Amino acid sequence: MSLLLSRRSFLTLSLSATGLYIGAKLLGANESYPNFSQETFQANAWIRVDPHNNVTFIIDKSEMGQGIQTSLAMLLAEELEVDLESVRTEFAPAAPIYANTLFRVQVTGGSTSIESSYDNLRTVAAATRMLFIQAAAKQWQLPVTECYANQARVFHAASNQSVNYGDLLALAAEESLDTQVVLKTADEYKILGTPKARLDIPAKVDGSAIFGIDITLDNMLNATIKHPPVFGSELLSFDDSAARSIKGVKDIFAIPSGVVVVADTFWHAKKAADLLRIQWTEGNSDINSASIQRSWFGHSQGDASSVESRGNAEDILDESSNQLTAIYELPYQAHATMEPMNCTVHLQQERCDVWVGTQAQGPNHEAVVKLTGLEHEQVHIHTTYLGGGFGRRGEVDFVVEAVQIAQHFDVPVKLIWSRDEDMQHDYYRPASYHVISAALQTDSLQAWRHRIIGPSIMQRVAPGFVPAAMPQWLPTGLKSFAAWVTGGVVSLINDPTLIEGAKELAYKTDNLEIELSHYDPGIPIGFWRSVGHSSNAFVVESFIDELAHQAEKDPYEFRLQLLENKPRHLGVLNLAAEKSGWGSELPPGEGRGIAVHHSFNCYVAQVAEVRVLDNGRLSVNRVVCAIDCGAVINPDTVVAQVEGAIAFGLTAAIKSAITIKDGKVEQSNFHDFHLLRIDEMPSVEVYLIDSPEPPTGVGEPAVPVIAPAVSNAIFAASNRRIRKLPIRPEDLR
Amino acid sequence: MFEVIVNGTAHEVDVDADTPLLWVLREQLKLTGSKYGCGIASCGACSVLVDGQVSRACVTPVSSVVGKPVTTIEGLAGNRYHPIQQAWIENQVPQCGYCQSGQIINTLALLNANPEPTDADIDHAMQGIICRCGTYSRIRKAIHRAGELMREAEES
Ligand code: FES
Ligand code: FES
Repeated sequence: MSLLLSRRSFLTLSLSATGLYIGAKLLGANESYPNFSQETFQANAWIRVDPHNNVTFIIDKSEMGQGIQTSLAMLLAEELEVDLESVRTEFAPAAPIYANTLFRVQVTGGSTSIESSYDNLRTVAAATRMLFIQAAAKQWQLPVTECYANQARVFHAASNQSVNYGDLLALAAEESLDTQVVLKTADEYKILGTPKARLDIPAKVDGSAIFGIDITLDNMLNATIKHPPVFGSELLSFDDSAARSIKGVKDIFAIPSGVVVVADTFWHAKKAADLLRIQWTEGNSDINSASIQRSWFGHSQGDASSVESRGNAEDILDESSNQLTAIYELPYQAHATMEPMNCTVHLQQERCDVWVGTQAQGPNHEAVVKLTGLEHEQVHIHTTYLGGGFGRRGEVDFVVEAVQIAQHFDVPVKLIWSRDEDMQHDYYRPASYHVISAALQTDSLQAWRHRIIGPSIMQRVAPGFVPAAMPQWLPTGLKSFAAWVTGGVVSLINDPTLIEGAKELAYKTDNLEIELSHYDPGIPIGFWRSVGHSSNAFVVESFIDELAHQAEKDPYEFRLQLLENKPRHLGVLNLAAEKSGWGSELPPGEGRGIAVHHSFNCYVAQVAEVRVLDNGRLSVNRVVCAIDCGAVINPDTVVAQVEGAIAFGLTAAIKSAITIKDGKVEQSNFHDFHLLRIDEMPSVEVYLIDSPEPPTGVGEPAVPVIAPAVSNAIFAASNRRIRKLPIRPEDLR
Repeated sequence: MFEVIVNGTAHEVDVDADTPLLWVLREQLKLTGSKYGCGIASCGACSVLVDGQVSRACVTPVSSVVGKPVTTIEGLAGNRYHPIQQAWIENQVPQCGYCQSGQIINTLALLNANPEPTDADIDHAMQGIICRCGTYSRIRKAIHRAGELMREAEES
């Protein structure tokens, strides 16, 4: 493929003693600041080549374990013709040129990193390589076409000459690119598609990787916060006499979201915070998990808005003699990243530095500018490694708090939330309730109706997102999300986070009705790894399994026949079935379940094998997963992400839930919000479909599939149909 | 004042007797490899060795480790990576990496006591160490591999 580019509109070069800085305005990225200085430009470059021939790549995405640092460096190294192992990486500051080209704001999420960078980054790298080749050819007075690059060096084979990129900086800075940038085809790849060791792993086995919580600065103070335990409640008063007796306490004060203790160390701050006696207003203390459930039932009876409709599902369902209706329920879920929320801020007269493990440099940048009144160029966001993200670190709440605290001091302050605060003040995966019906006619799905009852995430986040994100055009992926944002209108009907995975039913039917009934009990909600798919795939894939059994069909074959025109669904479904030995005998008490789902442009099928004991004990023994994520960048990273996604989804399926009592989250730490442990981890086999399609992200798409695969396997093993998560032993006795 | 011996070096720290070892390591000694995950001994992210035994540093008062050797993740590698770290790299174990010092320290204690653990031994020894990123399959493989590497090192 080739893209027509001229240097004037695309690459920008800046030479200084420290090296050649290569910047680029990516297709779909935002305009840079007007009149930026050379310093700002250099800080916002993509690539830096220094006179010692070191190549540094400035990474615009956050590394939270998904291996993106390495995958993006692979894209760069492939086209720049440098060794992957020699590429140095730095995390980018917040700046418009690093805006995610799909979101138009600097955010890592929605499994978009690879998709938004694939062409862009390779093009920047290839163009840069061409500049160096042109520069060398000029120096040698030889034709450009006879020169090539390898390992950060330009060669001319016939004359046996070669020169390092680092020795060509001044010449390259004068070059312009008037030809087409031609990207390699897959058969020319040396790096892409082969398993590469991750660049971040060495630092993660010797304790040297720096996460936000590890930031240590001279004269730094440490802070912690107590939020109102009941949602919607506010501070009345607090008594800090006991807390102030703790050694090292510097100050105790209120900020809008809670009461803060600042001390010399976190330990002192935490000890003091636990001694605070705080009076809060009553808040929404009448919210309970049970009352939420009652409201769900009410909404299931009342009106709903239609979000997708064709044919006449209503009448067919009424008249059908072969129809099935079921109710499914999913709870709130916490992100529970292993590293609790934290952020360090140093606020000075004309400068603010923020050190944070964040998925949202863009929104944080805007938030800090607004809070401090500083200019964008005066606010510096330093991205650290993230001790887990899963969507939680796309929020700005804890960064806003850290700035509000830093406003009281001249020195840097690090805010760390205790685990309890982290667990009880998350933006949770929404709980939802589903009423689903279908009519069968011999082998076909005659009608399908799915009513979703739940709250809208977009309604909460939209006001923050909209001004920063106004796409003019959209490439692929998250179209619904971006389209929704483009509109700039809070239209709940279109909130994709509630209906994704349900609206675009893959199974063939002529009569379809997808309905939405909004009900927000007032619990803060947010993006949780795979978002709406995490709930809807469980419902759809479990219910299809119910229908297969109603039709007395094998659940795998039943799906095949309804997915006739969905080749990529079929591809993964067939591969997973084949590799799992679908149809072969299992010992009594064991069962196999299958599920397939499409999300984030990626296709995933899983077969789970479970064992159910008479006492209700469940073990998930084996999961076979087939994934079609388009062209594969780093195969080992795809496998790792699938393994992790299965653990994450399985935790939500069989271990954890957030429940509400008297307006308050009942769980507070890992003793009552249980996460999957090593003895509960199934053996996981991952098979990749060889695909010529453009690559997709892989952080999320395997999450939604595991819950239905497991619950369908439970049905096969024990004849018990699971319609409510998480699965408890009492459901299986 | 308490004297703590961390990775072979003695340090005097001026803290209260009840200060957890974790915060002494992280805040006084600036050894941030041991992590805070839960503070109540239920995740293992803060694991260190005290006198060769695994200890949850978040609930271990500094006063209880005086005079006893403490090993943290920073003390594992000498001139080269410890076999456990090598096995971790070979198997590309970490994702976010936050839990991994705890995983590695617990593996060290396991392999010291039981150089050739079975899967059941691994389940038993590692059950308390949470990995939210779900790197468990690779941890298991890496433990077997590290056992091999440690036995090889011993033989040679
Ligand atoms: S932080 Fe010590 S066990 Fe979790
Ligand atoms: S690697 Fe992220 S918690 Fe284990």
